Amino acid sequence: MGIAFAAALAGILIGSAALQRVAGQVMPDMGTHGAWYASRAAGVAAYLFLWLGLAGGLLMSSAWFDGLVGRAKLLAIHQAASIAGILLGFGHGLVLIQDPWTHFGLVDVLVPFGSYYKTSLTGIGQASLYLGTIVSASFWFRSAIGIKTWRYIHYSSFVAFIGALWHGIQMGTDSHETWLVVLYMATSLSIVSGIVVRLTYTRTVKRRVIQEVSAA
Amino acid sequence: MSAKPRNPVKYAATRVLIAVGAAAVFVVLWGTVAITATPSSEAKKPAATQEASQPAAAATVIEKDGWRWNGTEWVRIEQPTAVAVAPPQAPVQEVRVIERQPIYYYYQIVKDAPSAGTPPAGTTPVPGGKVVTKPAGGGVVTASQPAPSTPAPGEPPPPLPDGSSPFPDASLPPPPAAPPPANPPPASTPPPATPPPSPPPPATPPPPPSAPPPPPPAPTPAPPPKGTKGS
Repeated sequence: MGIAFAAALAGILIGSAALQRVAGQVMPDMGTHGAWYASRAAGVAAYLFLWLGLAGGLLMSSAWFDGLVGRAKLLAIHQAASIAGILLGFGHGLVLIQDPWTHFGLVDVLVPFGSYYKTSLTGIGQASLYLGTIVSASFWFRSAIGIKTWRYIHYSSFVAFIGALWHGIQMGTDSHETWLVVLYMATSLSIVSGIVVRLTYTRTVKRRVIQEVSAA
Repeated sequence: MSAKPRNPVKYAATRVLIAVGAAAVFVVLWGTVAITATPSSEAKKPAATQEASQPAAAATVIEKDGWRWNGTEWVRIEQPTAVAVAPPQAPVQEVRVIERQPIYYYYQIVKDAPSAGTPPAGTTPVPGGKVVTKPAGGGVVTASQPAPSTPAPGEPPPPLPDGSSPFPDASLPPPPAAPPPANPPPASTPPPATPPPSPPPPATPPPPPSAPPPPPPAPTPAPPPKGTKGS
């Protein structure tokens, strides 16, 4: 697992350099800013897929979508989207090393609160990414850590999501764009709605079942 | 008859679809960002990264509104008209320093007693109870004098206009690298290369100022006003 994850990170680092060269030939107007654009795109995509993973987990844990999408399929979506978001998040940071303008190094990108630029806000994004990684990786260690610990770790995914959202709003170059504002609002509201559904709908079903059983 | 091997990964197609979708979203966003990138959006690039990237911009030339950043300070340039009317030749631009920018400080000194003894060193009492301070760069500035609308030699150099940035357009990327020079000073700060002179020591301790010094005016290059001395 760890080896695969390290290999994926190395692949992102190497792939980003190769991709930048290819993109520079396909779109010469990018010039030396290809990595910068790629980082911005990867950041937004990472947020989007982290949201998808979180929303999938919320829906999976509630009975709301049971009739529409099976829980096993929701689990696949939840896991795949979370991993995709994490890899995109690491790509979001690592690709900046290729950028000749920002001068981010490995320490700036990988060490939480180790960046020279806006240390706190960058650190929030880094911490959210690592938290999301821990949450996703905990699936494979659920039997070892126990269901209760696994569940508490999963609860922290909300903190990771809020941190990623805050990082994006405060630091994102495109945060003022209308489409991204709409995206932030829609995803945030959907998570809030999912939490409400998770806390209310399932209880209602349980209560209804209890009432039906007691009535019988 | 052998049993059908159980697939260890459930919904592999769904997972692959999400992975492909993630890559597609990333590529589409990348292309969209690259296509819609404008100089104004590039100006949103982190300020620190702009500072770090200014070497490349400075390696070419930083000129704004008739001022040029020579690495240590903004100097006003005089562009010969011959250059403008002779395009066939190589675009040579002669730079002549006709004005430099020392630093002036305004001190507001409140005179509390009309019968005060010796005025502080560097100040001259004038009628009306005002105190005139001689700035470090020469010239005379009255304490109650309003800030001039045109920049005095001591005022900060002209800033880059809003929306513009030394960060280049994506279509014309300058080569990076080279050591970073001092940044073009903003409107509210003096050039970094010139250390601010200490205020003239008064013979008697002046009373505390009643208000902070007036902010420097919006700088637009112009001849120095009367009463000041350009070096």
